[in-house]
Amino acid sequence: MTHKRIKDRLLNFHDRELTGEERREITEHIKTCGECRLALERWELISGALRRSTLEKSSKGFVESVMERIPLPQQAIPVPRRKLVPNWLIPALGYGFAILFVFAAVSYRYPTVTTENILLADVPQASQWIFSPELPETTKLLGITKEDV
Amino acid sequence: MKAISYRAEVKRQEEGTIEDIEVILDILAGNRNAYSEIVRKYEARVRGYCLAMLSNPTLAQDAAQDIFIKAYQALDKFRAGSSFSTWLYRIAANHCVDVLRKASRRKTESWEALLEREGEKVEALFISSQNTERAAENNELITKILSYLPERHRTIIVLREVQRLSYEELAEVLKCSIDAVKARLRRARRELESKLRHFFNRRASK
Repeated sequence: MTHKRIKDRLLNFHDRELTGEERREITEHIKTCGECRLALERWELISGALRRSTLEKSSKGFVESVMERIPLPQQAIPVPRRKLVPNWLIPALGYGFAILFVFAAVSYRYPTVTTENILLADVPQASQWIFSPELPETTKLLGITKEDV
Repeated sequence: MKAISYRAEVKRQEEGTIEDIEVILDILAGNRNAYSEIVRKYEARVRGYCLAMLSNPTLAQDAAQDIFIKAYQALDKFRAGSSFSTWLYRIAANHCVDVLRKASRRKTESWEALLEREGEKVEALFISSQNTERAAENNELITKILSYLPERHRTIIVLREVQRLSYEELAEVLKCSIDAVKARLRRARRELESKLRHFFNRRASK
């Protein structure tokens, strides 16, 4: 390193913020360079005086004064919990079910089973009922043969 | 660079960042009184910083209180990734700059007048070794000398020399790169040194 570069780095040297190699080089340099040695000594005196200062002192009552200025947390006011199920819902549902039940009861009837219904239900559309005192010519009617009659 | 990070990390662990976070979580959970633990822990440092920056014990006392109140109000913005002390120093640095700007209209005596009046004391402060008997007087003198530095330079000198923050912590507090910290520190030190050169030249000529 040149003299100028070392001079620039004297304060970093003082701060012990250099690598081992740089420190060694500067240590060697200040052994022979009066200007750099004096500059370093000067700064060490200034820094020493600043570091010796006893500005950092605790003060009686400081903590209390700060804590007094910090507002107390507000008292928790009980907030009414919002109900998931509103009060009116259960009776409304009850009435609703009751109405549905009555409606279903009224509208639902058992199918009236009559012979006519049964007979008409399975008869194909093509069939025609012919009311005649004579038997029809078909050999099989409703699964009953002429012979069976 | 690795050496810097390692040192900063060790210092951070020593300061008990982990415990700080636990206390902060406790405060955020509603335990307001736990904040007194934080105030107690950092009180001396914050007050020392304010005194060095503001050169006035009453102003420093008020400023330190304000800083702790501001920190309490902004506690939910603190991110656990950084150290609490550097976060607090950032608040302190900004607050002191605000106070200084408000108080900038106050008249102070010139540097030359100070040298004429307190020259011998200043010389003794820097040249002689530790003198505990005159600690209070020396503190007053130091704060007076620092008050003649521009606020930018004063901030970094106090943080580095009085509060002993590492380059990395300085970068975090001042929100700039480590290279910028080095450059700013160099300028600030040169300014302080040039102000005090008179005494060193006198000493050399003796």
